Amino acid sequence: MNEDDSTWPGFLIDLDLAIKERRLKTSGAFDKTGTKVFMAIGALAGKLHSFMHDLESFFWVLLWICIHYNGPNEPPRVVSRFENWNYMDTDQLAIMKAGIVTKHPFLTTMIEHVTPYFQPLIPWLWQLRMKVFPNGQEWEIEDEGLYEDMRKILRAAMLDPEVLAE
Amino acid sequence: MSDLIRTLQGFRASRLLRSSDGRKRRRALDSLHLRLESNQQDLQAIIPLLTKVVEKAPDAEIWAAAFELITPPAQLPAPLEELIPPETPESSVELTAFRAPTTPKTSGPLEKFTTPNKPENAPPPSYQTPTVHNTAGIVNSSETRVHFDKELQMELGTSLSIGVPGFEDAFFGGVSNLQSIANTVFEKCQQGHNPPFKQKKGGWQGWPSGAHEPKVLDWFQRIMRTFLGLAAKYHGTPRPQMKILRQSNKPLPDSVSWRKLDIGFVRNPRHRGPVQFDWSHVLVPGELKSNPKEDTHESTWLDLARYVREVFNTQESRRFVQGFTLCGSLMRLWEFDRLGGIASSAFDINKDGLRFVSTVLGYLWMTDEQLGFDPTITSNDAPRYITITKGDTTERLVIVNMIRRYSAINGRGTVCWKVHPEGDPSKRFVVKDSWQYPERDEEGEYLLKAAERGVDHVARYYHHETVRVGGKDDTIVGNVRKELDIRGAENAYKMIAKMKKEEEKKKDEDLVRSLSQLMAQTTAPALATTAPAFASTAPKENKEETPMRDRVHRRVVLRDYGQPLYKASSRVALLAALESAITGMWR
Repeated sequence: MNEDDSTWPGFLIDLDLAIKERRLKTSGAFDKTGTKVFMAIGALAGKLHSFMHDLESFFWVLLWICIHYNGPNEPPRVVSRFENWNYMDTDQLAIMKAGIVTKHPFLTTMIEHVTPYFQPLIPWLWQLRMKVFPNGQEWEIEDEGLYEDMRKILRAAMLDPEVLAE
Repeated sequence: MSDLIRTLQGFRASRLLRSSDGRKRRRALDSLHLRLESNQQDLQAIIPLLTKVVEKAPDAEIWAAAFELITPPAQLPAPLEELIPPETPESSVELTAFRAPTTPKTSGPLEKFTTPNKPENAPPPSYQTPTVHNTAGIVNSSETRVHFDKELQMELGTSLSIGVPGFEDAFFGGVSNLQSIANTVFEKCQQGHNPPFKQKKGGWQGWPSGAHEPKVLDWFQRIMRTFLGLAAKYHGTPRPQMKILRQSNKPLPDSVSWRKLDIGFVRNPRHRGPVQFDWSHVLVPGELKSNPKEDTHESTWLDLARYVREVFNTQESRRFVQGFTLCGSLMRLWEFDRLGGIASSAFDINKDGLRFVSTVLGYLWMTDEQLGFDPTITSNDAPRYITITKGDTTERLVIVNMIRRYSAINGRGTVCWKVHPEGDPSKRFVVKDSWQYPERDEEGEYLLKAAERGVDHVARYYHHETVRVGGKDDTIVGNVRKELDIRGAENAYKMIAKMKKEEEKKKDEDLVRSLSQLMAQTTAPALATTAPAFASTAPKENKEETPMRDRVHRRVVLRDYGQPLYKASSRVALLAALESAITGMWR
């Protein structure tokens, strides 16, 4: 992320985890890579890699930030029930995450855990969830439209007066 | 209790209290609260505060008790107890011994925090703060010891191999003249009126029976000085680079949770005078145990691995870290890298005196590269440089600062530096080093392709290479471990499993025996049917063999640098960065 350059606010640095598009075989690498808490449910469950997993990761990254950071100048906090995500094995975490993205648990999670600073993003997290997890469930068919859907939501959020007000 | 702290947190007074380092007390109260919530706080330590509250003591006393509770031990006045300089002025070689103080210091109001008579295996101190650094991939965690050990155990998992044949040749073989120096020194150690080593009288004279830690440290220091004196006398040896000093029972600063190092070789600082040692000075950490049986205990290895992780964390140009365990008089030498750890066979220093001499002298005479530092990164004096090789020419990049690192031992060990090309401080590049499985495609190739296709939103490519050390591609198996064949070794965890299995089997047999005795006496049919089930409860051995793995040291240089997402200056900036990153992924 580089805020000084407005045409260039975000770039990917972790291309070592990038995998060529539509590759049919797994890379043959031994481990599941990526920070566990940000990994997509399917990736945690050991499914074949899909770009859908990368997009889902963005969702988890955003949710994680909204829970642990309360504004640019405040240090992150530790929330024990999410801290535990680091220590679960991947299968357990997959089940935990699948539970959270269903309708009511997701609402409760957001209301209870999103920091005051990020509360204006709650409606937008909700919308992202609807796209990333259709019907509150893990996707079944790859959909390249998801890139554009997510970007649209993020762009709309950037114009939201509540989000802008700070 | 938690409520009480919360109440204290709410008082304006808590905001006014400041510690000597200027840290706000309230922040400390917050962390205490957190420790309480996560059951990390030793409740014993809280009793004085609770008593004051229950007794309805004056406010000042309650605050005083709270103040004590949140004062970290790092603020205790704990001066270094420097040893007298070694006898030979030439050699400033010394050994660090971080150990429990033999005499408690004069007590002050903070003294309650020190527990000088703490038993050997006491639980971690109650003042352990929630941690700042993270293990690889562990985010926003207070990193409690229990969690941490579990994670460390999983991380090392099956990747510890012990009794690796040829270990000494691989890691000590390159130390110049080591064998001849060690031979001379050991020979001299057995000569004279009162020789330090007598084979017939139990080996090293003065070796403390019972091998209690403080005594072993004293002995270790004395014997090292003897070795150095002899080596200098007969060989005119090169100036060694390490130092002995003794610190009180103070965990090393700059550490995740203030772990205490038993013993270790540290870098000798250039300047004279008292030095505050921290993990960044540790060259070879060691772990002492008094019982020889602990040589094969998992807890011993995990203790050493914990130190090794601190060393990796504070010394980002480490390719590998060497260490040793000394359990009773059983010594074992270790090497940790991004594939896990390997160890030599164990030897008794009182039986194999020469091996002990050459080990100690070997550690003292190793070059930085032999100790595990990356020679393409300068280590000490600022400005520091990273050297890259573009075609036939080398280029130096000046390190501005380090921007990210992970702390798992067994993993990619990713480190990033913000740098600028030598002679052009206006430019900003990022260097990213990591240890990748060779079967993974090179990140650098992707970046190059992305650059050629003009893809936006992907960090702009400058250079990539496989780091070369000692004229070879820097891989773990081929270069760090010098082609050592770990298949000739025992997997440490399998060994433990085998031992446990044998114990279980014996227990099972005993159980079956007593059951059949019981059945002979009674005629209960239920027991008869359950007996066979007991007999087969021994754990099944995992037959799965892991293939030989390797990791290769890769370096990528990018023209852009950024900040982590969470450092976004506003909500909109965060969303924009995410949106842009998604765009970059799509192309």
